[in-house]
Amino acid sequence: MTQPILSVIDLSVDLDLHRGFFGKSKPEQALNLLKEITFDLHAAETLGLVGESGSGKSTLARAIMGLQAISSGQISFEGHPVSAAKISHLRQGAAMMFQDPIGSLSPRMTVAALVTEPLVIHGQPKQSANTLLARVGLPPELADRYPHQLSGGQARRVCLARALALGPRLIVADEPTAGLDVSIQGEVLNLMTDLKDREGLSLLIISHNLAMLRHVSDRVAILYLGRLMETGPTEELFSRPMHPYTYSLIASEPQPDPRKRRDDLVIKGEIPSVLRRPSGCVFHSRCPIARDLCRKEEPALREVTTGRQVSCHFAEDFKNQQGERNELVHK
Amino acid sequence: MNVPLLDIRGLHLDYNGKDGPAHALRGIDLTADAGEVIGIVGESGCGKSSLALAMTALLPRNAKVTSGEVRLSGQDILSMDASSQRAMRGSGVSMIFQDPMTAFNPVLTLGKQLVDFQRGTGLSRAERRTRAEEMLERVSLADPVAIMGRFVHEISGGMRQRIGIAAAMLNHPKVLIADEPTTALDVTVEAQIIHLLRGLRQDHHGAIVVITHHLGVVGELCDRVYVMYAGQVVETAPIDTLYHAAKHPYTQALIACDPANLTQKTRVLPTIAGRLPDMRAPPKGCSFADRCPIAQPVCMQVAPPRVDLTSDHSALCHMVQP
Repeated sequence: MTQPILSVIDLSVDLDLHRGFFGKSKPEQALNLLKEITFDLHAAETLGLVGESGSGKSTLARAIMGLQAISSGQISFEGHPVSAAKISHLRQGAAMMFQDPIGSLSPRMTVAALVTEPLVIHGQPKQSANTLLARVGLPPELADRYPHQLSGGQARRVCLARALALGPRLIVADEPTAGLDVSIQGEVLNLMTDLKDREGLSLLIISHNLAMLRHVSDRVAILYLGRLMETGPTEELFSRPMHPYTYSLIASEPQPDPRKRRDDLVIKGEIPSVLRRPSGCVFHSRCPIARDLCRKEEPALREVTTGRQVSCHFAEDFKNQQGERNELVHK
Repeated sequence: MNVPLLDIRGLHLDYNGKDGPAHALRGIDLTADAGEVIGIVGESGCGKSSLALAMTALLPRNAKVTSGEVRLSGQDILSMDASSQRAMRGSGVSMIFQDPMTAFNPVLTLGKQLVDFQRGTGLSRAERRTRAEEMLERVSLADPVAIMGRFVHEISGGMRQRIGIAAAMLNHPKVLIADEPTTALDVTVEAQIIHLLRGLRQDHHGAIVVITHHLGVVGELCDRVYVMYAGQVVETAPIDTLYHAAKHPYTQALIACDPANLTQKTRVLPTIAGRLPDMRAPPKGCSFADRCPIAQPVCMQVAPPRVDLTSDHSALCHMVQP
């Protein structure tokens, strides 16, 4: 097996809340945002990272890019641990597309200045802005515009052109299609897939849009309250989810076909606050199959079948009952 | 012949700007009957939000209705004076907003706002308070009394949208408009809100208008759908017909683009090439012609006719045969 381009081992991120309202020290108040996250991303692979708001997906992206201090564990990019000393290697080899495309572009810089800025920062030979824009299918007329003059789809493309400027091997894209119309969403994703095929890029796409990730990602990882619930190859994970949370997410997707309307609700409640994390399995408060053990003991992420990892005490039982449940939901 | 509850006829709306007027709505015909849930679908810039504003008579100052009318129980709401329009909002038409965080006042408790919303009803404060609590219970909130004392930032997104729905239902509106009611929510919470809205239609005697870009929401909720493109209704049909037998090329493309509709995994997602026309100078032919896969020369030159396929299915297209 070749070495993964990105490897995350036992990553935990805590936020220190020790400073109380009047500066009183409360050291026991450490907010655990991510716990024991482990996954690999291989060359020319697309990993889709799914989670609801508050699940820690953006924190994970920031940690990978060295923008968020980590508490324990290790992140390695091309075999080198991500650290302050090696940050230049990471920044040239990996690029990030932020969630808010217009907000992440400086309002005072033109598109041409924005897309060539990474080259200036890293002292790379100059390239023409038009060449960089052409790679993402933008016409040269846009070079003189400012971010507020761009449409949502154009701003995403500018962010992608910026991310591609240094010839990275990895792109981390945080919600690359949020707020885009369906026809434009397809354009942005097709462009990313095309670049991945042509230049052998690896992609980490963070999104809550399952229907979209189903088509663009090779593997999917499901995050809930800072824990990995399940990882596996896309097709398998969607057709046979092994974690009740994955199943609930898939079954919650609204169906455009009125003949497939569902009658019952698969999941109740909302994702709890990280300040009030449930004991035992973090999902037990909303889980349809939770038992006593789930309230007491936190399940570890374990390999259930080859390539499929699940953190659920009852993954095997759940997998076996799947047929009946599908009939219940999509009758 | 009974009058539809909401009846929009030939509505044309312009926004005045520096470079001349932009024609945001161009001849909208739409009806909604009591007990019906209708959907208005379209991508950004198609005019669906302008239509919602016209339905509530909340148009901005630079908007001008050049012709047409919006009738609520037979009365044209756009020609009413301002105080009648104010009286009409709440009990005639009310709205569920996309982002309930910004729809509530952050410095007043939710209870105070829910009581204030009923000021036109003539009920005492105590009665209004009881009605507000009952409505919160109706939207499946566990502890209405506690919620009445909270501020909007203190509660979760899903609860906030439930309160937004309760607020909109308080005065039993004839027409309830939901503008992207689930766009800001997570998918599991979205499913719950859809479930709630579906339950509410049982005891809501008016019409519900759902405005969204998300075909999934329409598929789960609506009886009849209007598809909008460039300020026009390009196709309207009952939901089942629309999804399974759409005739307008734009509707077909929109359905094809939704990744939820692709049963086979594909690496290349379908798209609609091209862009919306400039609404300051809309094309004289069909607005969709330059993006349409089956466009003929006539589509570029002549505005398309509205072709009635059945009594409740019509499409604005030269290529559709009745």
